[in-house]
Amino acid sequence: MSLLEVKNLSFTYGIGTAFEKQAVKDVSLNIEQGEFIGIIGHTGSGKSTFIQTLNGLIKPTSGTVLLDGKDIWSDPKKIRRVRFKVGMVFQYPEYQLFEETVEKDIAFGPKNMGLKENEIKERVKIAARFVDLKPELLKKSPFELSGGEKRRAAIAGVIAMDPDILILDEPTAGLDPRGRDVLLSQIYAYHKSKNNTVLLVSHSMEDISRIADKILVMNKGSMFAFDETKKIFSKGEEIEKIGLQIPQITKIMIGLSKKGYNLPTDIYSVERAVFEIMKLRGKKLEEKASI
Amino acid sequence: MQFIDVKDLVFAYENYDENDNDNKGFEGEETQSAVVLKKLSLSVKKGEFVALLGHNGSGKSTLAKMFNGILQPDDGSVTVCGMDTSDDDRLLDIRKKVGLVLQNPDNQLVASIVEEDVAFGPENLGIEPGEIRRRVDEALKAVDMYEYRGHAPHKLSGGQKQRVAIAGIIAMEPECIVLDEPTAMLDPQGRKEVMDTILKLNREKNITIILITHYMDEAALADRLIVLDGGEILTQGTPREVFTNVELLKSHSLDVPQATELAYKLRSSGFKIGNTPLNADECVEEIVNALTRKSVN
Repeated sequence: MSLLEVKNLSFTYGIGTAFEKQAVKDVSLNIEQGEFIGIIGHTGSGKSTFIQTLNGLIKPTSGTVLLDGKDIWSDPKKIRRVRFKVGMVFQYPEYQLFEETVEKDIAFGPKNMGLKENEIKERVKIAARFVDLKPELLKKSPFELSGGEKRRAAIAGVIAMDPDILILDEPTAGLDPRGRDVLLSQIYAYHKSKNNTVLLVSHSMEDISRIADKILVMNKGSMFAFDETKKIFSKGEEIEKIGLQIPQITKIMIGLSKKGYNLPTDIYSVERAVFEIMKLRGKKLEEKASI
Repeated sequence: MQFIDVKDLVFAYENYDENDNDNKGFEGEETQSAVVLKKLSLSVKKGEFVALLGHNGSGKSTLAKMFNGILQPDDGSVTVCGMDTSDDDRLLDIRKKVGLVLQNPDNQLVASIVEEDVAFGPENLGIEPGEIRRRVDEALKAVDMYEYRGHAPHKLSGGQKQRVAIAGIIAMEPECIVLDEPTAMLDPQGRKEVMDTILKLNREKNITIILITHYMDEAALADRLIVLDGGEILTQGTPREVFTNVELLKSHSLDVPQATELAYKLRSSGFKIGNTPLNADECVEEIVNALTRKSVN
């Protein structure tokens, strides 16, 4: 049994109004415990709507979401429990900080779960450590923090609920390259140490390809592809055709193979590209020598 | 006389905590002093397209606000066409020449209809209604948003909103536009729309562009690249010159385009790469050349 099973899921906004729009069309997929999934797609491709159906923020128009084999909507009154299991970090989560201190803000989720005081304290501490927030910051007002710190505090608030599945919607948007790298490596380290399931939405194929086991590509509300990262990149050209950016390095490898060089095109890291091109050159030199 | 001249510019935020969160870096930064710009000198020519690169906290956003006198130097000077930004009497003239576009399009649009928003600037300059009409239409056409003139800004996409914000600046007919990370909050499609617009304004209308960005592919389009680090200029030159210095950039944890990095690594393993490539096509060409050269030898 998969951790999360999505079956024929569709969602339509504003049914019966002039603004009726089908945002998600017949998506079916399984997500296993411990997987790191990257989600990519245009604005309007349905990716944000899709992830919101996974923790019951949006009720699908048709189709089901099974968590641990159980339909999350089987008892609508208990949908809140699903949200403790499936934690969601929205875009620009720093706009949602509201408490007097950082500590209280991070504690908000665990408190709502009805945990005991010392358990909450422990969780706040651990969550803050995961996102590398210094202990002295916990007593400060969230509004005294820098932009990057605010974002990490907001993410800590979701981590503190210790969700089985953590979903992040463009967590690095607006950060500079260093901030982006630090945050992604923190999320990855958290994933590795907890062995929990992470879904990460991003516009950057380059970022996703570095850390995701599998990638879901959404296009016009439908699932365009869902496969292991390497296999997704072997479809590089098709993905470019639907208007998504593939990493520059993948483009270069496709360009070289079009020129007749026998090189793999499912490459998304500079190191691998160097390795393959050096290997090709080695072969060419050998051929020369044998003639 | 250069179009913009910055000489020995020094600037410090008086109370670091309260003044400007944007200029704080990712790490919290108690250790950094409040001096944001340290004796910085540079000049920009009329019609030039300059990109400013650097981390959060490198001083680039502070510098952007210096060009039209939103902030004023503690020491040193900033002049636009010979006018000093610290001269209050010339401030309005300077702001007519240099317009500023910021990161978040939602914070820059004020009216409920696109064309009214674009008219806001020229109205404040006291321009005649007939002339305003002409400028608004022309500005909206320049950013390819003319057909949306009657739309509500909040229903546009991020890229469209940002183009409306740019139109609002163009309608004031500035000679220079400073853009502070205009694409940071946009998706790849929106980024492309905005970058195409910026290039068009620079090439067709000869508007001087100062673009602050984190994206290396955008910086690669500029005539000149200035890299800031800790309030000082780390290096500058054409994008090709700057990106050739991969090690310097990497040691300051700045990115280079993947095409440049690949060429750099191949070169250090003995490949004969001529020009440093800045994009995928150039890189493919260089590698093909290197590979055929090898097999000919």
